[in-house]
Amino acid sequence: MSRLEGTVARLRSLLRTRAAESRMDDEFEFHIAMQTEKNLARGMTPAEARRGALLAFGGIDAHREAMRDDRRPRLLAELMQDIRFAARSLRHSRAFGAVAVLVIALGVGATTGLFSLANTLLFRALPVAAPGELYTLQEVRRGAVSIGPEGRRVPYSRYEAYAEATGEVFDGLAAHTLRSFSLRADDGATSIPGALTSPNYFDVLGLRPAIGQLYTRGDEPVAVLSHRFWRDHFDANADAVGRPVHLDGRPYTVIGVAPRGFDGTTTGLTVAVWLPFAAARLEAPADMDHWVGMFGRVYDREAVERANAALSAVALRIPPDEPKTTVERAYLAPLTGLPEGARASVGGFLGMLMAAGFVVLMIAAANIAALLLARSVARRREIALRLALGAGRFRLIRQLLTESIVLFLAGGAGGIALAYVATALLSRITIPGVPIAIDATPDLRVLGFALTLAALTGVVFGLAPALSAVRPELLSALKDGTSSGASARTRGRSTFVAGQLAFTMLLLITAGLFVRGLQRGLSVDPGFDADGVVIGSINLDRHGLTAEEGRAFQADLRRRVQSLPEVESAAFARVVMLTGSESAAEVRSGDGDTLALTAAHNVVDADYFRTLNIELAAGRGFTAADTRSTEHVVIVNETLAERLWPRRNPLGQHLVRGGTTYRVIGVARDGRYVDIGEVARPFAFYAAEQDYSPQMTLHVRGRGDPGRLIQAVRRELHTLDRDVALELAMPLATMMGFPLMPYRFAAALIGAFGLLGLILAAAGVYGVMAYHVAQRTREFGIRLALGAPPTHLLRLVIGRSAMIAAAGAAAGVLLAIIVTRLIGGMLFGLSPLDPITFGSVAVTLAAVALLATWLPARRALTVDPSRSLRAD
Amino acid sequence: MPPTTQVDALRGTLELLVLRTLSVDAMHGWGIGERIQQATSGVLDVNQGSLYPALQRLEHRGLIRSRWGVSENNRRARYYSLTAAGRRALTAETESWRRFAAAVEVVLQNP
Repeated sequence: MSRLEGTVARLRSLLRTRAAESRMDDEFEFHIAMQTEKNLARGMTPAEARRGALLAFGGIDAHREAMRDDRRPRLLAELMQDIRFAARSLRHSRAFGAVAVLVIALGVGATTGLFSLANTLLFRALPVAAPGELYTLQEVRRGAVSIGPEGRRVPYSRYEAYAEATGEVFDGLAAHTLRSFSLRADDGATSIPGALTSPNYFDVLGLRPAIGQLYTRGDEPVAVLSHRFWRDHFDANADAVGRPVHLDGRPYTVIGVAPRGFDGTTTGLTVAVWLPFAAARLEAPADMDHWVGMFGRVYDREAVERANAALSAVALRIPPDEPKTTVERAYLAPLTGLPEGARASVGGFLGMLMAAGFVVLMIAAANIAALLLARSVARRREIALRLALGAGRFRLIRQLLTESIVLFLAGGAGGIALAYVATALLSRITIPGVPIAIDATPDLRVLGFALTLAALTGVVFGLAPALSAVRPELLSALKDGTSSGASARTRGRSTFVAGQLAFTMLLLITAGLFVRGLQRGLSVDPGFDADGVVIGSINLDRHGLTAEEGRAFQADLRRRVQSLPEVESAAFARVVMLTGSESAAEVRSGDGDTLALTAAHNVVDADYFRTLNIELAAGRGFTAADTRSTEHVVIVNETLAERLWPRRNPLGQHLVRGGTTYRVIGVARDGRYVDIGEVARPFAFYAAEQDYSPQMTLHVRGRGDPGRLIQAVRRELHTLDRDVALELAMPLATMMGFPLMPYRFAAALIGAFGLLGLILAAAGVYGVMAYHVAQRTREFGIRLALGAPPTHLLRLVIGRSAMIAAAGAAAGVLLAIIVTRLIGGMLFGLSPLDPITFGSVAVTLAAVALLATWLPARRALTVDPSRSLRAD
Repeated sequence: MPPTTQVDALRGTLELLVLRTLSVDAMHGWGIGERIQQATSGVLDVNQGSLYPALQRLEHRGLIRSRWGVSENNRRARYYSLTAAGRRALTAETESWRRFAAAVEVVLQNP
């Protein structure tokens, strides 16, 4: 209790300084008055009495100060003092301060920007009610499998069975699937991203509408718009509610707008409109078999294991939906915005980039540390004086440390600004046709990260210079400004620089490997020619066309497009090659061999091979003669042929897929089909005429500007049916470039980091060599005077620098050998120890180090022996 | 007049004396100084002003408390009194001082 009283008293006197000061004055005055009275009683004159009292009291100001010091927590007062001192001393060396802040800003900015991206993709919770309670239901199955951004998907009917049976685990289980819709507009249909959901979708998420209402039943043709879409298409006008939107040719009434900031449950993919499943089904029964993702609000987050067991039991009880499909189990995974698998790879990728950013920060910080060290050497007289006058050593160290922390925090603030700008720009990037929007701008968490990073780095890298500045060589420092321990300092700095060189080498080698890996990947002949080809997908599924009508539609469109003057050839295919999508099925030889394997495939029409310039090694392509009524045919690639019919002629052989027998009529040369970096895989082409699919991608080879070509195709499509949209329309090469974007990004970013590191390391080399030469000026003067040839001095200097560079390079190579193994999988087959990369980086580093040594080395040569000997 | 020894350097000792003085009676700063002077027969002449930082320290540690009051000659003065913690501290500090003094005595007795 008394302790509490004491604390209260302390706080009171801290906060109410005026009251405390006046109390002090009153008490002192009382005391002096009493003493004066006592003196008067003793017989002194009033003047003597007062003077005597004051004398006996002692120095009033000293006592006042003592009490003030006790009032203010000393640490806080000293901290304020240190900060003011730091600001003042930095203002004096403005150039140093500016450079330091800039360099740190770059390092902190890079790391913070990447962390902000990671924050958005991995850490930020969905803008829904209690996101921690939401889990997805993942079903593990063999046979017919479907995985999408919603996670592992099941047919809708299966979801319904789950919803009924899992009332004990979930307080509401919802289903959804992402798909695009064609939105009718005046000049043709555009494709907008949307989602079909179960009626309780919004309920489970706990969302409230911005305007209007969110549907809770599923049987009416209503639609909920996203806030973003509402802003863009209806100008955020409240009378949008009640208006119709035509999606896939059918009208839906807008009943409400989702809250601002909600773009669906998948981070990055923006949903523009939500429709209830049943409403879509009412209009087009062919759409019944949706594959959906499931998520729900669990009652008990702790009991995940038990829930998994219960869910698996339910999973096994529900009768299988597809033939030859076995369900193994079901489990819960948190609903986090990115599907499970993606989280791991995104996390790994961003982690790698952040590590590179961190390395740059370390290099930059090492530079600053070296500069601080140099500054402390320059201030040694001042520091020695202060120590001699009684300044506490610890206090002095704290003050120097504060300087470095202030510097780093200022750099950190600059870094945050840089990161904000960079991420804002990044967030603006849109890819036409792909509904991706990522708001990667920093939030509070990122801010906290940046400041902590800056402060910690400041402490770590400011410690060494601060400690070394306060060494007990007072006397010599005071006398003649020299200090022993200079050689130790040079060694320290040299180690720093060698470290910088090593890390720079690591960055440059990593970037170089990415670049060469990409080159290697791109140099592989994919087996087709993408130049001059544009693509666009149409999906006739939703428009209520039968297979007959669909076929006719596709043929019609193809004919129209082919008759365009700038078009050389056009063809439909189900899969777009080398964009990462893969369709595969089990195939086996039809001769009764039990040899079976999984082969990827594509379903294409007759002109496909011509449009993409795919070469046939034997046999023929598909022709108009291959129709639904003639025998099924297939074109295999060399690898598939070799695997099913080793050393035999594949032409005329039979292949069985899913119960249908196909005759091999042609063999295509091997190429790359799914990823640019893949190894030879078996592949089969089936005829589109014999295997109808409502969703196909039109490939058009034409002359002239690709944009105009796409417009021309759109116009033809519009004349045929104004409700069908051309989706993902772009040059084929562009789409093929998407899977490579992360690698390009990594190479560019790490390369930029490496370049920055190189500049910093070069500055470091220059600094340490300049200092080194300055230190040995007298020695050089003596040597020259004693007749040493100038080239000898040059050798000494360059030899020193070469030692540092060699140490740095050796360490760098070692680091690279260990680290690059981790990125081995991203190099398209290039060895992570690629000697050309290692060699060229080493040579570059050596050249730069030599260049940085040039100026100080020359200065060594121009030493005037007589002057250096006389000077001190 | 016997030579006075400056006690202000030995802050701890001063605080001990203040606690002792206040254990008898609550009083104002001037009174504490006078009492210590009287009790030690002027041997310890407190650098009077240094009393006040000591009083503030003791108050911040919760060993004494203060409030405004009226002095004998009708002046406004700040009166200090001991808290429970102060009483406990007094006992402890007295013990430790006695031990210290005894040790010094031993050294002085035996060269």
